[in-house]
Amino acid sequence: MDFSTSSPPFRRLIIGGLLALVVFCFLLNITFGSVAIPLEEVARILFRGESEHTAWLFIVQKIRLPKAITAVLVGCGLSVSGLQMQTLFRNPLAGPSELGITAGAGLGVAAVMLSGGGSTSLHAIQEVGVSGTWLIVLMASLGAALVLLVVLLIAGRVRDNVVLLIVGVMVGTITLSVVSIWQYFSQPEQLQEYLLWTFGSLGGVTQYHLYVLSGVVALGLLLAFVSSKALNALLLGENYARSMGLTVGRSRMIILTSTSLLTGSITAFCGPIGFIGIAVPHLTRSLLGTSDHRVLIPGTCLMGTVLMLVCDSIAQLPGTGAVLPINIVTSLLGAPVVIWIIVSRNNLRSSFS
Amino acid sequence: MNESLPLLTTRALSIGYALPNKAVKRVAESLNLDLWPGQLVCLLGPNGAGKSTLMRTLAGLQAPLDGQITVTGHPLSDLKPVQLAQKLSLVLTERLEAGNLTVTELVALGRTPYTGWLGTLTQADRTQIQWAMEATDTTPYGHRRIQQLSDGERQKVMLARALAQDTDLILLDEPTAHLDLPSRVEMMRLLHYLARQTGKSILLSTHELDLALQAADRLWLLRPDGRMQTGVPEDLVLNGAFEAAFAKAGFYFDKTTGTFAIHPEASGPAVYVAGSGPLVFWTKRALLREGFALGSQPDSPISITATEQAGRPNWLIEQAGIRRELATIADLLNALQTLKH
Repeated sequence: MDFSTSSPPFRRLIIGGLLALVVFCFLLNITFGSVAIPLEEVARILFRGESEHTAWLFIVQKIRLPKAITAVLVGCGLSVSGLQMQTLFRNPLAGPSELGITAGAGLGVAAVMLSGGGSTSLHAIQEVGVSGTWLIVLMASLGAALVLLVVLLIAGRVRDNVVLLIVGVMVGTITLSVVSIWQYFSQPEQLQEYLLWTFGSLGGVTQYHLYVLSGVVALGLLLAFVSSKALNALLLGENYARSMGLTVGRSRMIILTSTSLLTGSITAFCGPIGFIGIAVPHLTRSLLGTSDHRVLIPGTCLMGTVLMLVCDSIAQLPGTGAVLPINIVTSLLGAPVVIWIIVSRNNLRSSFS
Repeated sequence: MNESLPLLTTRALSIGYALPNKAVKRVAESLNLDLWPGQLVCLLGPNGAGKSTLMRTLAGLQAPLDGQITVTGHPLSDLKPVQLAQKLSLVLTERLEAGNLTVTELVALGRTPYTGWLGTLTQADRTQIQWAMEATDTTPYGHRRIQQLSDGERQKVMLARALAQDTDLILLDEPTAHLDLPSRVEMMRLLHYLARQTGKSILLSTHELDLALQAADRLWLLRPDGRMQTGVPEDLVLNGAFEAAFAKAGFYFDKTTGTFAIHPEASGPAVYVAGSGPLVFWTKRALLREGFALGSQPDSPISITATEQAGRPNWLIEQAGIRRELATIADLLNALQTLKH
């Protein structure tokens, strides 16, 4: 008896293809930048740790490798966070940035950056000390959780997908307004830092910041994977899930924690990055042809990684010296996907609701 | 399984729900109900009588206001969700939209209470899933996706999922609500068969009075005033409880045919219908709809003899010595209309 949707060999082929694509995009991402370094040299530095040019060695190991790893973490984290939210809300339009969750994380970041006056409002996050790093991650995760809870409370009353989306946008707007009030009473230097942060950047995460981000994202992904059985049961709706022995309250708490940690930590370090969270789960679902989260979670991780690395490579504007903010690139690529989801109503209704 | 004990009992159960203004709406109280193994029980009642509230309460989705529910001897409130899920499964009215899931994947979700933390299926799980799909006749479309199925097929798949859950009790909340007539009949037949063959006890709430009368082993009649009457369907029909539960002006329950009939006021002259078999039955139906009174004596103003001649139906009308032969009920009704005036 066949227990999977598309035949497993076919699915394994796709997963294998994605893995190869991840490695390729990872290397490609590192070769791009203001200094031209050939692909084979990049591979040599990465796999053997040596090069004739010490400058290249430094650039790759200290700047481009952390940035590529950050892209991988962001791609995995935001996509899985979006996947969990879509299943939890039973709404194809749910995603970290769409429902104002990143705005909530932004509120947490603003609280740290703008409130502390000169001493803690240090220029850019990379200057923050160890305790400061944890503080920002904690505040961003709490901010994300706060907005998530508000939206979840409202989602209990609203069954319509599009209405929930509008509610999410409104909650996000309220959150941003609170931040704006805060900005209004802040010093110009603080403002500038905060504005730079809102453009999003994968470049600012180095050394122990990267360890913190990796640790938190790994924890979030682990929680998500542990919840995959619960997420599968939740596909049938809360009543069926409960009748199949799921402790819905506890499962929902774990999923919320995972989503908040993923979105909160990533947003804290890299700024609000839109559309990855909503677009990747849909792309993965249609590619793998399944709703089984045990397959979907690793699948979205790979897909998210590929997409994030590609977006970052485009942001480097190969051939020029300029760099685009990552948020602009993801929005340019991701927004059409959301339009496609809304326009193909069939897809929208059959996946959830 | 102990055959001599009911699988589910309620004692002095009160059900209801909280209204938005914190007041509690009591739907029904002092319910003493028993569900026995191998029985198909239909919960009937008019809209708003509280069928869904009762089903939700028995399924543990909603707390009772008062009283006790025991499932296979354990109080419902003491059972952990997983333990309850191994004793009681559910099929709900809602039309499920579970996107990319295939039928087999969905049925496999029924094994959720038995599988490990990652939900990996063992050979025993697979055997149970296979049995559930064969019993419900859903194996042929096991590889299809949920959104490609008709409503009837969907509900059979949801039933297969409940069977895969391998519980002694199955509760179905209006499972036939969205289905066409053949699917409804098939569903009821299937449930009746399953209760008999597997010794499960199956409780379903439904609006299908005719089907419930034919297929159910027992009926639970929930009246609009919150009182509950239970018994074998035929007993409830004969003692008038069935009719009383649905009493409303404009129709009556015909005990001879077991159906509810619309009650038009007879305005035309009395017609006597002679003959036998389905011809007479359907002729009388047509006459009643047209507002004729049915005469019981052959000396009524109009008399009709319905017979089959050479394999074709034939109606002979006699009125005041005039005789006419007709071949269809449409012609018959036309002829009677002219006689009426």
